[in-house]
Amino acid sequence: MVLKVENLKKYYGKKREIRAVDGISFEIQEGEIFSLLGPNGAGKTTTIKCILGLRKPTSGSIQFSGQYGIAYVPEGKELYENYSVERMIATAEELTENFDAKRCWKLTEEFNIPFREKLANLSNGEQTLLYIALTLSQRADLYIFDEPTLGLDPIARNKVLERIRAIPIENEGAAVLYTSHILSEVEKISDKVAILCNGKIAEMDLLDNMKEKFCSIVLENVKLPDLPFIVKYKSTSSENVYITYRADAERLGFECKPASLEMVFEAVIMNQVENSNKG
Amino acid sequence: MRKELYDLKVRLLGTLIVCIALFFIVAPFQKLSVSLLEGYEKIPGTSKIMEKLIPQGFVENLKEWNFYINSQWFGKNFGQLVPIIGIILGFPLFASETEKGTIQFILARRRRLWVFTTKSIAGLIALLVITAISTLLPSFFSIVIGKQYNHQVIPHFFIHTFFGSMLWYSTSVFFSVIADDQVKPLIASLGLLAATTVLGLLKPLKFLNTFSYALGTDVFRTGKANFTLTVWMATSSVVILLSAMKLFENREF
Repeated sequence: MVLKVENLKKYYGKKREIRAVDGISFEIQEGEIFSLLGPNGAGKTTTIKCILGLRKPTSGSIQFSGQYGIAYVPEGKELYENYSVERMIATAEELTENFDAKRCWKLTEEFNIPFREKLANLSNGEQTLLYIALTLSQRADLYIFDEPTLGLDPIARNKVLERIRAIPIENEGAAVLYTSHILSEVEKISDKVAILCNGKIAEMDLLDNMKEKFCSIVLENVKLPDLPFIVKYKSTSSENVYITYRADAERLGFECKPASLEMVFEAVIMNQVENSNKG
Repeated sequence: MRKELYDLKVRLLGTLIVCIALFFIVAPFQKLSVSLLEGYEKIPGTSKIMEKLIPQGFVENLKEWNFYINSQWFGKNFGQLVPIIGIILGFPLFASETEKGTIQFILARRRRLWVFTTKSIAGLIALLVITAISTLLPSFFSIVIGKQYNHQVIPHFFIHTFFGSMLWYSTSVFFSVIADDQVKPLIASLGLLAATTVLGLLKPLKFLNTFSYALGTDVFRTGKANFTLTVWMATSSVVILLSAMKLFENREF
C-alpha cells in the first residue's frame, strides 16, 4: 500500500459549515492508477492538498509509505514565468530529490518545448507539458496529477496519457492518483475509480467492476420500477434511458445495455445530489 | 539557495545601484553644500530662519570631512534608506510565491522549514551585501580622493545599518508569510514604519523610533555602536523571524 486515507474531513468556515471533504476513505496500492472523479467543488483538490500537507485536515488520517516521496502536478500548473525553460529545469533539479535532469531534457524535447524560451512566452499547453515533464522526471512513490491534460491538444494529451500509464511500469512500485473531468481519459488509464460528490465518496471500485455493476435500461413512458438506484440518463419523446444496478435490472427481467463510465458518473452524481436534497 | 539568490538578483542589484548613485550625489559635493549653506546665511532675512533650522556651528562642522560624510551619508541619505532596504528585500519573499501559485511547486518538493530557512537566509545575505558595500563607500571614497577619514567608525556604523534594516526585513518577511499578494506586505511594512516613526516623536514612545538607531546617531556621538540597542534590535528581529516561521509552518495553501 502506498497511500491510505481514513475518514478524512476538511471543513471550512467559522462554524465549520462548509464541508469540502466529509469523511472519505480510500487506499492506493503499489502499481495502481487510482482516479478521483467528481464535479467542480466535489473536494478532489482539497483531498490532494491534504495528502500533500498543503492543507491541514480537520480530522482523519493520511498514511503514506514510500522511500521517494510524492510528485505533484497541480491544477494551476504555475511555474516561474520569468525563467527560461533551461533555468526552470535547473531549478527543479536543485529543489527536487531524485530528479533525473537527462530524462527531463528528453521529455522536453519529446513535447517540443523550446528550451531557451522564457516561460512567459510559452503557450498554456507548453507550460502544462513542461510541468508534466518536470514531474515525470522525479522518482516518486506516488504521482499526483490534478487535471493534467487541461488545455492540451488531443495529440499532446495522448502522449501525456501514455506517459502516465507507463509510470507504474517504468518506476517499480509507483502509483498514480489522477483527477480529470475528461472521463474518456480516465477510462483509458485507470485501474480503480472513486466518484466524489459533496465531499463524500459516492461510489468506488475497480473501473471494470464499476462499469459491470451498472447498466442502462430503456423504459417507454411507464411507471418507474421500485429500485434502490435508478436515475434518468436521457429521454426522447417515446422512451427514457435509465441507469441502474445491473443485478436489480436483471432480476426484474429488463434488457441491460452496457453503461459507459460517463453514464455511470452522471447517474451517481445525480443520485447523490437528489439524496442530499431530500436529506 | 541558488534559486533564491537568482530571484533576489534584480532587487539586490537595483538597490545597490540606487545606494551607490545616491552616494555619488552626496560625497563629491562637500564644498558645494557648505557654500550653499553659507550663501543662504548671507541673504537678508533668511539668517534667522537658518538659525532655527540648522544648529549653531553646523556649517563650520560640515567643512570637516569626517563630520560631512558621516552626517550626510549615514545620518541622512543612506541612513534614511536603511529600513526601506530591509522592507524591499523582505516583502516579496513568500507573498510573490503565494500570489503566483508557485509556492505549491516548492512545497511539493521541500519541507517548509527548509523553504523558510533558505528564503530568509538568502534575503539576509542580500541585506548583508547591500549594507556592507554601502557602509564601506565613505571609506573607499576617502582613500581614492586622498581625504583623512576615521575608518574605525565603519564597523560600528555597519552594525547599526545592518541590524536597523534587519528589523524591518524580519517585519516584512512576517507580513509576506501571511499575505496572499505582494501589495499587502509592502503597505503593511511601510505603514508600520511610518506609524512607529511618528509615534516615536512623542517622548514616552521614543523607543518606537527605529530611525535614531538606523541612522547611527550613537556612533556619530560616541564613535561606538550602541550595544544594548543592537542586542534589542537583533533579538526583536530573531523573534519576528521565528514567529514568521511558525506561521509559515502552519499556513494553508
